[in-house]
Amino acid sequence: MERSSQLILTLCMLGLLAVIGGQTRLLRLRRALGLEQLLAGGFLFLPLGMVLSEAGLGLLDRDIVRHLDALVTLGLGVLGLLLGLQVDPDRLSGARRGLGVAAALETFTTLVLVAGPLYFALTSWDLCGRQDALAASALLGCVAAISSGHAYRAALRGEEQPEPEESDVSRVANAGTVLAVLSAGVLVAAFSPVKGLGAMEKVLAVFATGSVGGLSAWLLATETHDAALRTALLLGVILVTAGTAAHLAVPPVASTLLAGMVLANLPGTVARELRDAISFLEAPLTVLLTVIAGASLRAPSSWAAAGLLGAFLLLRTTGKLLGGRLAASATRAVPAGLGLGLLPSSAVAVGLALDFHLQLPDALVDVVLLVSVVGALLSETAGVWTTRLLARALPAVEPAPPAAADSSLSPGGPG
Amino acid sequence: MRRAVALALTVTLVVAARALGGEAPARFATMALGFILIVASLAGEAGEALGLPRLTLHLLVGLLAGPEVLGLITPDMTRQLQLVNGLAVALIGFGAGMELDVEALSRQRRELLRHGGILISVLFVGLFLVTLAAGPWLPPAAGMGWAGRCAVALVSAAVMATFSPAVVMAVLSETGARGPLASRLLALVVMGDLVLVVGFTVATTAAHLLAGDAANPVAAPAHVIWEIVGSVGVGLAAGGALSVYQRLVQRQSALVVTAVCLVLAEVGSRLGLSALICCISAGLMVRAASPDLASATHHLLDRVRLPVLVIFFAAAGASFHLREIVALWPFALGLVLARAALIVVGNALAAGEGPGLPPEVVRRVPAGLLSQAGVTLGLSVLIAREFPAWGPSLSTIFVAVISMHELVGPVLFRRALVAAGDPGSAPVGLAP
Repeated sequence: MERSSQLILTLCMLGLLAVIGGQTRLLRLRRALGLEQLLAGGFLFLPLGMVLSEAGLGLLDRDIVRHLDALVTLGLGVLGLLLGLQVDPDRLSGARRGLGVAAALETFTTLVLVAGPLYFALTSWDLCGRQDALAASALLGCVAAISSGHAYRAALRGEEQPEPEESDVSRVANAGTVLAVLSAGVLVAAFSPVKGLGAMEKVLAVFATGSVGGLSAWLLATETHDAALRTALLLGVILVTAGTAAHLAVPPVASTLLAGMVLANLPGTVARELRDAISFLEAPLTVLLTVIAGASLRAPSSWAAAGLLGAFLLLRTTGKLLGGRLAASATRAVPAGLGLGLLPSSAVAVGLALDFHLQLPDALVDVVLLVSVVGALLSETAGVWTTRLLARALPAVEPAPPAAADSSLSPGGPG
Repeated sequence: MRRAVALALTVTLVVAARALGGEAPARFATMALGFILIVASLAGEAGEALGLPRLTLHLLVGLLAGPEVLGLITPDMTRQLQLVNGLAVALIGFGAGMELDVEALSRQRRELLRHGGILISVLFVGLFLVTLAAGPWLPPAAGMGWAGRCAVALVSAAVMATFSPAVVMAVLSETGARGPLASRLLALVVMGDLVLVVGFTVATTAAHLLAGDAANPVAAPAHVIWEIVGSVGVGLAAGGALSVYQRLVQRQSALVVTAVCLVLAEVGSRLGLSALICCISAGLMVRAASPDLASATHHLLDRVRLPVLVIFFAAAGASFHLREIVALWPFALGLVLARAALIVVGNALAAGEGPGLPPEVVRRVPAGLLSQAGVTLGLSVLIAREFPAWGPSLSTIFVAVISMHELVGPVLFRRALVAAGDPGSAPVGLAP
């Protein structure tokens, strides 16, 4: 088949998949099949991506995936922005005291517990040089620290318990995801072996692109009252911010997350209006990212990859459980079993690994993507039971007001 | 003021990133795409305040950012941006289909058929004669015999007689025009698109025979029937499926419509169908199945349509061939003037036969038919491929002509709509 035809047909198919996969009104069927939590992160689309990959039907080969770079960058940009928009003063002031500390304790415990040993494994198994190992282990640490804010909510629904608009577990998961992505913006950018800017310049680039993006979006939106024009301008800002970050070899999702945080903390209601304007893209873009990540996976060429995956899963689970306990004992704001509710991963983790893969297409990155994606999928699957365990163990809370968001993939943000 | 600051910040970011970043053209493309989207959107709005169509400003921004001026958009990126074309044409067609009021149009069908029939016939025959007469001086036909010149003239007439449904529908969409001029022009360009399918196939088959190439005259009618009937059938089926889906999920989703349009445009064109006819039919079906649902869908599509159209027209502007316009401007200008004169004459002749519209509206019809864009460009590429001996040089002249039409046409059309008092006037033919 001609390359351009293949690309266009693939795009068409991805578009339809994304849209149908992102539909919010198929809840009854998903609940009946018990798939709600797995679909929440879009993870069921990973195997589909594998089927469409070079080794499968051959529709989404490496070359086609490279052509979809702009779409991936847009997807990461939108997810990052929506995540950053959650960090608004209203939401922060409404949260219980100590949750921020709990989130930080849990996130950094997991990050260090995963990144440290994996760095040791990567260098001692001679899988790569020191610089590459630093970047890869930092990325895997950040990926491991990310949790799904929606999973616990879905578990409450599964247990037919009243669901709050946002539970403390979800808040910690979302805050932890923000911290993990910001850490990726610093660590992965600083250690990235991509030639060009120095480590400090790359870190500064993350903050510069994010701040400029957020401020530009606010300036443009406050003077634009036409809804369609506002959406067009916001998409332009997301593309510029995420595209600039990607061009400078720093994580786009970290830049747009910062842009979202800047936007959320500037005066007026612009942030909320912009979130409403682009939230319709969240679900389909999540599906797209997971399908593309699934298609980018390569079978490991050595047992070391399997070892790395096993270590990642073990360390992540330990990090989450231990981090949860530490957070509980230090703050008394969260239950001791918090880690059980934080095991499910989110599409942001897959997006972060996918972006790293697009920047550095080599054998090591294939292994990193495989570990990240399969790790996220397995964590998500295990999370279906662990979150329910936690939901049963915790006392029921007051139900949410009826206006609560009903987004299929991750209500209240991509975390 | 705030927009100027935002723009200055964005420009600084892009310039700094370009200076600091390494060689990563694919990732640079994302940044450039965003930058074009912001600048072209703002320019479009500023142009509107000056009475210019938004799309003309989108074209100009694309031209400035394109490979022949600032080079912000590279030729490779221009090719990548062409992927948006199918989606843009499909969205335009779908929107037009949802706005077409078939009942109102069928009440005027005799006047409409007479108007379009006379106008298109005069345009086609006139262009054939003009190109035939100019043969000895026209680069591709110079030195050819009568048969060869006739072949070139036939093909030229078939390509140059086309209109631009995309530009007409985009201008109508951005002005919100719903009056008799808008209604008649929408019907004429849809009719022109149907005639084009037949005319182009017949003209190229005849040109092959005249040029002594091997051609299968039996295959042409089959192709035409497939393209028209197949497109209408596939479009109606897709529209029906979309209506059923929307009823089932009880929700209008702009993204579902967008995805269906993308599939119709790309898969349809690979099956030899007309993307525009497919999508117009789908839009008609959605409207017929549920007018309320169509109205809500139309409104929702706005937020998807604007960014797609901005990129579509900016990409078209970036593809302008300035060097070719400079090199071939006498021939191109001659064709532009001849075509404009023939449209005016054809319209005047049709006016004498009672077109069913007030005279002050009828005389403004030519302004809406001057534009040419994607459809004509696509045909000129086909000509270059089908007639390798003289097609490429003829295609270059067409590209120069299209560039001129693309810049001037929308401006004249918008002015005609305003002069006819069309925006906000009583709906005739178009849905209220």
